[in-house]
Amino acid sequence: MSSGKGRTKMSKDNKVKIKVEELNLWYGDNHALHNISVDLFENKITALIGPSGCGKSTFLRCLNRMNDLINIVKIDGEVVIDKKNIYDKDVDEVSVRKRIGMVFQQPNPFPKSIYDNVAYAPLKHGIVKKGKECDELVETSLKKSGLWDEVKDKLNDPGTSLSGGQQQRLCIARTIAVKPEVILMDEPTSALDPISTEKIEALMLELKKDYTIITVTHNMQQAARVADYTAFFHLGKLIEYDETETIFVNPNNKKTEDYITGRFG
Amino acid sequence: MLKTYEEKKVKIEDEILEIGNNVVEALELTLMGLKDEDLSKLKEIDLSIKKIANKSNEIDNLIVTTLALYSPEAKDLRELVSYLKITNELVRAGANTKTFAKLFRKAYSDDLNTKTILEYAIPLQKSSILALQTSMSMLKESNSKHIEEKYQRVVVEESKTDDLYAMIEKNILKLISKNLELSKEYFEVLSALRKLEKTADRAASIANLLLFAEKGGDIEQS
Repeated sequence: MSSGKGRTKMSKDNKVKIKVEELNLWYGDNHALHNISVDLFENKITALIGPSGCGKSTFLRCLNRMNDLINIVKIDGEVVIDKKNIYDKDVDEVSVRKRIGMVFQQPNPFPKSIYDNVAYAPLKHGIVKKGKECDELVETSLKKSGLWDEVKDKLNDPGTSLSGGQQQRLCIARTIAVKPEVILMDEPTSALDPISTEKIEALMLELKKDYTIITVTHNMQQAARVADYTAFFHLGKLIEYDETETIFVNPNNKKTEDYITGRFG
Repeated sequence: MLKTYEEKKVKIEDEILEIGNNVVEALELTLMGLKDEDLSKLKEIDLSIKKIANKSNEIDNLIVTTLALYSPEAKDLRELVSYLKITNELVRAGANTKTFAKLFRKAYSDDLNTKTILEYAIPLQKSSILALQTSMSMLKESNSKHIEEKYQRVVVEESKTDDLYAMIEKNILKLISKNLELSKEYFEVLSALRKLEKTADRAASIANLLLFAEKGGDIEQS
């Protein structure tokens, strides 16, 4: 799979949620992503792995048009979600980001209460009204993120008063609250201890029942443990994309094997 | 460990138990045949070594995948490594059982001194079954004390099979010296019973591996 083709035999039983076609990205003159074509599947976890600078986070940010915020970026190709290219001129990037939520490496709760962290965006987007409806959404989101039992008695405490792992789950609750279809995660556990990491991983496995999850990780064990599919990037190219089991037990490409066995990168 | 890992581990254990139970059932059938002196029961054994080997390969591949995906450590690692070796022990136990049934059926006849043979063959058979049954029951046991107790029981039964086989060997050699014409048949009976004793050895090896999984230390081939 030298030119980054991500259409493989495993497509047949799964519903494609995101179809990426011939995606290229330049930071000024630097060609950072080369002809990426890949199908990402609904209600599955896809892990993007590869050495630093390989383009995995850049690719992730293409999926909800986060790269639009960088002036020097030029993008060519298509990212089709439910038959609509999100880069079409008539598509509003804010509505894209509402459908495709993102969780970042460092937990970044707003300097507001736990309740307000979750309620802010749904109120802003008009998804719910203040009062009972909003209370229910906050409770549901916190339950889905596995945080409710820990914070139900202190919803007015600042979000920043929570531990790192709890803050990250609060950020996930915040993402879920706007009812996205896809959740992008950019190294969501790299700043967390092993116990918090395991909680987030268990949460990811629960969340995939309702959402499509794409995660970037430098932790190969994490990709192996939680992802259904894994994509290996190198020098801006998609080298191999397959079921995680295949990638970690019988990779087809020597570069993939060398990377996952720690021989380069 | 994640729930998905636990699910895989349970699946591996269930599949190992399935093979183990098949071998135990076959051994029980042969015991019935010996008790009733109805060797047609030995013919009824539905134990395909090819099927067991295929199943064992499936389990081994599942273990390799689980090791690759979950990178287990400490007790989790010891368990999976033990399971990888146990599948091999079960294939050997299955092959021993099948060979016993085949050889015994072929060699045993009323021309032989059946009373002397069965006097120790039946207890040998019982001990082999008990050893394998007990070692398989260790697989789902979570109480450390019970695992050790079961291990000891397996060791005792395996030791009994050694003694019983020694007795049979002594007695059969006496019979051969009295009736050299039947020496071939007697040696074949002896060879068949040796397979039963070997089955108990495999049970002891399984118990040893499961004790290693529980308590740690160095893995030892027995």
